[in-house]
Amino acid sequence: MSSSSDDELMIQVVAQDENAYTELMDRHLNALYAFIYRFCENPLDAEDLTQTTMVRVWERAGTWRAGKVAFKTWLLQIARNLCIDDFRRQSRYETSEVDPDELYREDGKSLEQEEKVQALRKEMSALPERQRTALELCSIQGWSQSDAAEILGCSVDAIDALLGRGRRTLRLRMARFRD
Amino acid sequence: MNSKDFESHLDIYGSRWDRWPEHLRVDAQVFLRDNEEAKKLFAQATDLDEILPLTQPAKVPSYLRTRILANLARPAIKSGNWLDQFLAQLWRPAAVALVPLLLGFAVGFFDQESVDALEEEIVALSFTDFEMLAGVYDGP
Repeated sequence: MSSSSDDELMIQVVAQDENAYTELMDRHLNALYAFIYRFCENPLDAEDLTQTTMVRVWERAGTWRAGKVAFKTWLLQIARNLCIDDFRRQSRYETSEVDPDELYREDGKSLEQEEKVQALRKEMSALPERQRTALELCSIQGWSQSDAAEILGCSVDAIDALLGRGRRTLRLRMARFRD
Repeated sequence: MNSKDFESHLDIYGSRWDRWPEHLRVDAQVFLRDNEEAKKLFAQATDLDEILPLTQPAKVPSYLRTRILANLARPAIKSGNWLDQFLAQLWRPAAVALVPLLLGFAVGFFDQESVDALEEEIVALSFTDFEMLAGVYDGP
């Protein structure tokens, strides 16, 4: 893997450099897939939307402006718009036939921890989409509030409110495992 | 800082101090040190932050990367024939050269009235007796 920044690679992608594109994809595919999965909660839809997003990056690379928006922000903006369009088209996402637990990490979690994780997944699924997305970006992927605000197209204060409500709901519902 | 403030900030920024704004961090840490209720809330937030990353899906399916690369539209391979390349590049200057030509046609077509007047003038001139006119003006 080269030491080029995302923006440097993206400049090469604009010139249809497939090697640069592959490197960018390798850097961001996991985060992109996780972001999309959190939105649609269906592995097949998540795969299709991840593919559509990455193909769109290739096709519309010319519309990206260096210095105006960070590549990762642009990438997730594309992904979110596609997710919203897809959600509207389907009117609602159907329940996946694939057992979601098969898709999650199995890295030696204890039974108690596994129970907590499953409960938290369910609680997260029940949150409104914007709260879920804000949580995924800031509390899981480590984005700053201002970058998340750019992706969600709102103010930093609005992101704080989304995070506050989302985290509070989860914290209170998960407190039963502690008490 | 009071309990209510601490709780609302904790719900926004979580248990990782590096995510807290600097102007709130020290106050919150002091409040946490001396307040049992705050310690309980902070422990709940810590639990949440520990489990949240585990709710993410496993890695991307390995075939997805291949599928994405297979779906990229590649530019057409350039022909080695120089004549083809030359002709392929010729359409732009040719299109530019066509613009004044078309403009000329358009002006000629829409300015028919002045063309008719010119034709009438030519016909009138052809029937004019210039010798007689010359006599009138030269005097007796």
